[in-house]
Amino acid sequence: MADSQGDVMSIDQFVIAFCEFFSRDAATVDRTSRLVDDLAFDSIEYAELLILLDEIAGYTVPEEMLEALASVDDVYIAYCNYSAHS
Amino acid sequence: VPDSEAWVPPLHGRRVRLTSLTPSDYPVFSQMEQDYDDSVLYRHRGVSVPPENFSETLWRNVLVNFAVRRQDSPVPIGLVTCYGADFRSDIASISMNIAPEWRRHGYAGEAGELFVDYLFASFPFRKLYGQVAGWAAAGSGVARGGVFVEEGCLREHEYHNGVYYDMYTYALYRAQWERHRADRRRKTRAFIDHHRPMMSASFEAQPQPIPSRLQAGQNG
Repeated sequence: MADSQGDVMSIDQFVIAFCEFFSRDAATVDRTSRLVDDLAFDSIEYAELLILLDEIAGYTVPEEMLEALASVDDVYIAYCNYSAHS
Repeated sequence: VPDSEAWVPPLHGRRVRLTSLTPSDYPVFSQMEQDYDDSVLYRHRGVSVPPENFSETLWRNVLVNFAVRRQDSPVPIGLVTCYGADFRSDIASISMNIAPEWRRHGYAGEAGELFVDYLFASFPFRKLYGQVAGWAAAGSGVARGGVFVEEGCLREHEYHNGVYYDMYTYALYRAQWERHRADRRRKTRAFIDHHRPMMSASFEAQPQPIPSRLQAGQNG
């Protein structure tokens, strides 16, 4: 596993934490995994993702950003951005 | 921090709020249920309802109706309904309709959570049923398992566009709902622990939304 980069997890650490949170097998998920097509994300999980990002940011993040989250990598970038502003 | 004995379920979330319906909402709901391109998939299944009868259909056999509104707008974006309540058996059915342009914003999940909390706190229901047609089951999240339990399936029940789809009945048990809420808090805490240990302390301090008297097993 890669080391943390400052205040945020590395992508490897993030994928593990992401898979624990959403109950996915980390062995089958990587940064290119698509939320809907590969991980079968549903509307409840999108809501849970939004709440998680709220908790990381420390404020209510704009929900419109969900539309831009298509892959695990997109979520990681959002995580890094909101961590930087928390 | 809510007092455990006087706790009132919140109807306001971070992004949406559940409010009473007003007559001015009816045209919005009528459009939502009859005018959108995919309206044929929802409650009236493509059947036209006369305007003078529409409000009556909204309230038929209904125990609770709430309009779902965004925090920054009075215009409803959806409707949550509890209907078919049976207090001899402590069961009821629930439904939710969010306008297409507001889906995939996290509103449905938050509104559903507020609504289920409200119903379990306000009424002695053991479980709440939801019906989902086969074409919608996967994307709605009810088929994921865990909190929803499949309790029945009417095979090839619903006709749409040349295909007879299965119609599923899922149940949301009070005990499983409580476990789901607790599990979500635990997972969030674990994620925050991965992210930044110092944040977990503040997360631990968040109030628990469901008082012990409403926990699983306390109300039959």
